[in-house]
Amino acid sequence: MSINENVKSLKYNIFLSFLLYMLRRYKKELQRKVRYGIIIILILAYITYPQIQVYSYYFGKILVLQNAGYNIFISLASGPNIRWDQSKGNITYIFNNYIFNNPKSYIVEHAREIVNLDLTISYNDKSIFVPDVIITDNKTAYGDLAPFSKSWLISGSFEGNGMVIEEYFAKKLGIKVGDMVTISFNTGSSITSGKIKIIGIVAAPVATQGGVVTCEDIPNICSKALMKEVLNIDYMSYVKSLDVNKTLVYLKSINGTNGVPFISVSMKDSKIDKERSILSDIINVPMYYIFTYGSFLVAGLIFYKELDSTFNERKKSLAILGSLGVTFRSLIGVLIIEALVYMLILVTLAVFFTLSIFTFTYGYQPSWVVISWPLMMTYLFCVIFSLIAVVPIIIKAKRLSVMHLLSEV
Amino acid sequence: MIIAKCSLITKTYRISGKIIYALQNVSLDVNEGEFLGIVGPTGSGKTTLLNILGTFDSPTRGIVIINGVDVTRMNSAFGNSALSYLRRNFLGFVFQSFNLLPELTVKENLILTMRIKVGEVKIKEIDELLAKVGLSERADHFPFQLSSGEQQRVAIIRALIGNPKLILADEPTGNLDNETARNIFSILKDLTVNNRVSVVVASHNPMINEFADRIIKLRNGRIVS
Repeated sequence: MSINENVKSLKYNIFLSFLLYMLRRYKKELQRKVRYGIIIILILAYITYPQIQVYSYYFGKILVLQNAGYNIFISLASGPNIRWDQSKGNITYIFNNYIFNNPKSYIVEHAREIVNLDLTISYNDKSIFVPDVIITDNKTAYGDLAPFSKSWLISGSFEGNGMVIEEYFAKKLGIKVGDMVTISFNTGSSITSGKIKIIGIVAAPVATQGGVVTCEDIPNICSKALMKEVLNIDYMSYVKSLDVNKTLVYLKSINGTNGVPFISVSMKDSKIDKERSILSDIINVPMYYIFTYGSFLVAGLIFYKELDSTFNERKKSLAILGSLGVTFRSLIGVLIIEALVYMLILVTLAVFFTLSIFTFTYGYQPSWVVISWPLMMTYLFCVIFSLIAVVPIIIKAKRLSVMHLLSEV
Repeated sequence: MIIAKCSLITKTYRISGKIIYALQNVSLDVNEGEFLGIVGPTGSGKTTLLNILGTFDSPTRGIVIINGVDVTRMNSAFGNSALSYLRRNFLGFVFQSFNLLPELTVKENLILTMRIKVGEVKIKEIDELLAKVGLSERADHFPFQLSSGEQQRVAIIRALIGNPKLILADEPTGNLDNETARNIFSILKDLTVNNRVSVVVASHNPMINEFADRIIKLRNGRIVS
């Protein structure tokens, strides 16, 4: 073995010994750390949870989903199947235009392409309430949705007259492509119903909407013309948009031209919608920043504090190792590995914890394909964060006073 | 042959605006195979001198040379390559509080040290060292299961791993009874005789006079005799 190989082997040995020693320490420390671990897991669970939603009924009939918590990691990690909502502002712009140079991920103004209804779908004596059914008016609007949805298609197609339904509902009702289902729509004063053909079944990812984060999304698609034909709809109950003014302009623009006349969009309702939208913005936007960055900060501080206290507890052991000849480089390596392992374990626990205890909107299960990208980004952020958090610890280690630590009796 | 050399070293501390002299113009040579005792009352500068020789502290003025390397400004907790090399291959430390790693057994403490200092673990060598200080039966015990004397003996054989040329011991008998202290001094003396290791011991214990080849007396940071 050459001198260089000898030196390399020695360095490796020092590093490895140091690492093994630290692992040995963790075993002892683990029990005492459980309480901190639980707090960190809970906070990480919160901040890594894609969308915590509160369901609340407005006006007795219309189901409105309000986001109660938002997640910086997942939000920043939106992938091809996740579109950014306008409320994201600059972040959205940067991600859509610079990071995701991908036509599948750009801002879509809801009002331009979709209106939606709350329907009840019935088949063979089974029925299910389906809020937020997308009603697309023509091929143009449909085209905007198609790139998102085609990859989700399990059977059938998007072509032809009929309805595309999400797998969850299809399974629930025992529906196959080609089946005729009964759909009913509460107009407020009466219930209108009609039959419509299922032309496609899709597997949707996490389906959430409203507020700041929108994971696109809505699995139940049918054309407005067909709805008009089937249900004889003469007004829309609810238009999904944060900007009510834009929605009204849009509705006026399609009035009478696409088979669904804009007749009865209640001004009273739209006023309430507008008020709610403004109120929602006033509350949601600051809350978004407070919750997201606040949680991030708290989790970060706890993580740092934990690293710091672990470091403080073993200062003397580190000083002993320093006196034996462990190099500063080895120490940095071990501290970084320690922070990474610590963080990755916590995040993994948090993610699984999150996925296991929360249900997703309408009972959808998150598709691994869809959440893999956010997960990757979550881990990436955590790795970056760990590296940042370990810097002050490394500085502290550099300033350790070995002579004082080793002289302690 | 001179193993370590201090030339006119002065160490000062500034406490509440006042300059305190821990060492003043101390010059010292440590020869190969020499048992050098440093004695003096508390606060005389013994530990400071040992810390400077051990590369844990730097003098304010003066030069420290160990094994031909100027280590005057090398004093970080975790050394750079040169300092770590010196600590691994040239220096051994024995402390009053033993400073064994509490999570590891006696044998594991020695294995870890050997891995760090030598790069490979020779169990046979460790067993021999343990036998030498009569601790073969205690190899699998944790430090807290040992008496003070036994812990100090482990600390001494740990300092021997890697065949250092200079062992620095700060009050190695501070917590020990007379019989155990004598035993510790004997072990250190044997090292100087049999292994040609230089040993520098700072101690209050008058028994050191029996074992040391040379005694340096410090008072108020100065060598008085």
